[in-house]
Amino acid sequence: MIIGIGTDIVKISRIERFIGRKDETPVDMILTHQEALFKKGVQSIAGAFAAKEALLKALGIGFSRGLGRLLEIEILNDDGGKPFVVTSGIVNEITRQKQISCIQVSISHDTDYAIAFVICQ
Amino acid sequence: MNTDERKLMIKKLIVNRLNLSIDPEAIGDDVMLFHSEEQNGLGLDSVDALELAVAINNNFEVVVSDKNMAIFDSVNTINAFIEGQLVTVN
Repeated sequence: MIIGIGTDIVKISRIERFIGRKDETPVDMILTHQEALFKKGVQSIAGAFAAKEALLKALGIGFSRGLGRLLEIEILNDDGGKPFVVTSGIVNEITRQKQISCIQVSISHDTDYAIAFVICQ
Repeated sequence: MNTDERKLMIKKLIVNRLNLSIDPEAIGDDVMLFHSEEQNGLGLDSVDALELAVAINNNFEVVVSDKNMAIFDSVNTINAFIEGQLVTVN
């Protein structure tokens, strides 16, 4: 059964501007340490951001529960490159409350934009 | 810095940090920053929220907490949050 869906689109240049600021470490607000090991390019960082936003929408909370929720959603890739989601903290608690057993995510980007779609089952 | 000066500083921070093409003084103190323009808001989104959190942390030497995202509602709520932090420090 589909419990929630969410989608998000982000302009890659906005993420590039945000993470590119000197004397700040804003990328730490988007990616966990584990994600940062693999996501080096701005396209993949923007894609991960869109996926996290899409999941927050699918859960019906958006940013209302805090910016820190971004770090409770990890977007990682299996050996074939397919993205998968790992949740922790409050986000994980909400997925349990909603009895979500499977989160599917699809991410795409082309030139200026990254887009993600999430299905919670 | 009095309240009016701080509110103007917040408005300039919003406009400059987010590259908005509006006059900072045209932002009403109670305008809902994340409501759409159709709802008479400023139409900010989640990337803007990240930008604002970093900018407020750096410019006012406060720490924006996850616990109350309502501080981002308007210039008035941001100002009230900063004033509250100042009282705590003092």
